[in-house]
Amino acid sequence: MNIWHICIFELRRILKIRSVVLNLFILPLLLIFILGTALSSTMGTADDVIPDTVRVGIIHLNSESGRGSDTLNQALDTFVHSPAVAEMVKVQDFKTEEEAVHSLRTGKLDFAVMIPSDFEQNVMMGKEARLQWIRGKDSTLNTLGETLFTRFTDEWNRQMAITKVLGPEVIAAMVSSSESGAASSTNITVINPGKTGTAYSASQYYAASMLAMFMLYSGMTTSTSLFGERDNRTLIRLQAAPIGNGVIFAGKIAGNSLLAFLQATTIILMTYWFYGVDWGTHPWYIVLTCVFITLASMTLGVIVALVCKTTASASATIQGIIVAMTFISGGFMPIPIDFVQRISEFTVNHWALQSFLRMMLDAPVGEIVYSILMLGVVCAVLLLISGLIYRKAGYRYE
Amino acid sequence: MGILEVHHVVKRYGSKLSVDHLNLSVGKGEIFGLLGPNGAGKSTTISMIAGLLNMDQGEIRLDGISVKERPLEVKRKIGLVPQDLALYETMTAAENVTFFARLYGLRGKLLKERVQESLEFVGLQDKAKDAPSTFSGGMKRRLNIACAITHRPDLIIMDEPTVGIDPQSRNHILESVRTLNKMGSTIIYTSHYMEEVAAISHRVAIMDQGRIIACGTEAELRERVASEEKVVLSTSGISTDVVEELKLHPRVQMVEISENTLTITLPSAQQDLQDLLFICSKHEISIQSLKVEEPDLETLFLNLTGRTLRD
Repeated sequence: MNIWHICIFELRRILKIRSVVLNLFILPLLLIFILGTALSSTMGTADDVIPDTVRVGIIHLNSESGRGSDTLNQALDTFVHSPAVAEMVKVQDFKTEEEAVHSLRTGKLDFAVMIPSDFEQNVMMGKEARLQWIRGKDSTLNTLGETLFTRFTDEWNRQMAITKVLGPEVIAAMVSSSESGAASSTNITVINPGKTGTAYSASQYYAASMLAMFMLYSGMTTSTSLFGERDNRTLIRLQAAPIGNGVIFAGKIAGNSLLAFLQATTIILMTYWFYGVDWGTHPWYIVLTCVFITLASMTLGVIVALVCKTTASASATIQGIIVAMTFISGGFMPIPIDFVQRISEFTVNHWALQSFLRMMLDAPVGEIVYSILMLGVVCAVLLLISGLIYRKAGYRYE
Repeated sequence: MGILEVHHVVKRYGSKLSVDHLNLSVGKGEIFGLLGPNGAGKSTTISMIAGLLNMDQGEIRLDGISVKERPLEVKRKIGLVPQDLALYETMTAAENVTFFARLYGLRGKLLKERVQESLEFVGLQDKAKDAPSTFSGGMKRRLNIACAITHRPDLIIMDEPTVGIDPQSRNHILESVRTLNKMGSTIIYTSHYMEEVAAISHRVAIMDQGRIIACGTEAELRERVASEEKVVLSTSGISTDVVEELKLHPRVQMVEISENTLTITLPSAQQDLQDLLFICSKHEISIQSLKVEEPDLETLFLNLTGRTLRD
């Protein structure tokens, strides 16, 4: 009962502070609008169909002519000319990597695929054969290109495996089948990463990333509040009351958590109503994601409050952490660098963003749940750390 | 046995002994003054009584209940007025009082009545809907008290409640303390202002370096320094000869000089005043004013420690 009492008092107290209302409710809505409008050209809109042509350069590293063997060439031709793929891909062959990279840089290509010199040999020897990518500027087109040519590689590996087991006649049968004009009955199908013919818009992207970022700022409010009780000496009076230290702590965390939920609800509803942001059709997964972000936010606030000596240093620390995590996870702008993307997998923002985007794209439930679970794992680690620090440092008025 | 019993309490901060085998007993319904200079251990002692600090050794019991074993029960019976203002500046006076009162279990209609009573008691009923950020220092001190008394505690601990406020507010607070006591509360009042403690306390304990060095009623404590009185003479000018002759007087214990003022310490001013005046007139010292100071707690503290309370 006392926890609830402290929780409600804390919420009422915080909502009286104008700067909190501005920073947690108004500023994110403003930023989502500005970023979503200004950067819409880099992401397109949700109504766009995937462009008619993704310009793909294919580099055959094993041949001076810039083409592979007849079998591979035929398979590639069949693939790129299949009805589903032909709508989306326009292929150009290159002899060297440098030429393809130059075309990517000058905007003449969107994506490039390198066929390693040992590609066919690996296939024939039963080893896994993989193509290599050179990514362009547009992350959506990169993703599309990767998806398509991964599908090609998987299918190629499968067919070669069948051939090895059943004999070369199978290949002949496959080639004959394609020559008879059954190109449309290709074995390779295209699976879109999300909704068929759609991608997420800039507004959706920034609604998701800013929601995650600003929910984490509730952790800063928590940290400031914990320091505030000490600095204002109200913690003395709280600890003199017949309630345990844990009750005080839990009440304050609960109050700030409620604030975070209120914030999330406001941002989601306002962006839905006024910006037309489609959050998908999984409201309970959205709630669960918000729960985990709140948990991460609170634990981060607690860790910083118990470790830092002053309010100013705590605020600066937590701000730095949030901005860094948002940046690394591509919350301000997608960063197509492998190394950075690997590091971002350790951040709250990365998995929160992935969860929201997958919901927006109506991705398979398994993918959504995976992202949410990974977010939960990061939260669990933060919770463990905060628990250990609380046990060691405690929360006292001196 | 009193309402509060403190036995052999020890508190260390590292190698520093803040409270050194402290013993004291506070009777039910009395105002108990705890007097001592800064750093004497007063705040540490009352923090341990209020359950805010753990003691390293010893026992504290309130109404027979051990603070160590049943801290929440003890806390329910205590109202703490901390030395520093402990208020939420952005919440109204009524919200502050209500919030803290709820933590002691008050609810509903009773809560509302008690909040109203507390604010009336400290004279802030008209300011119930205003935030402390708009209050003067004295008003904040009064609200600080209101937050501690709403639940009608058996023991009220007031840690230097008049620090930094104007004389009018100070008098108001002292009057409030007397009234609370008349209503049945036992009060522990700490201060380094001797006059305040002497004015309102039934009994006084003088504390220094973590120990109680004297304890009793004001009359009992004065008795301990009854052998001393001070005669304070303001003159137009002092010569070394008059000082030397005064010091030679058999019953003069000490002569202090401050500018043109002579302070002469001796057992009885009544007995030797004539001698003192004769010596001054012999040396043609013109006396502008004369005052006899009776021994006080400050004198007792000085006797016992060699320092003044304000050192």
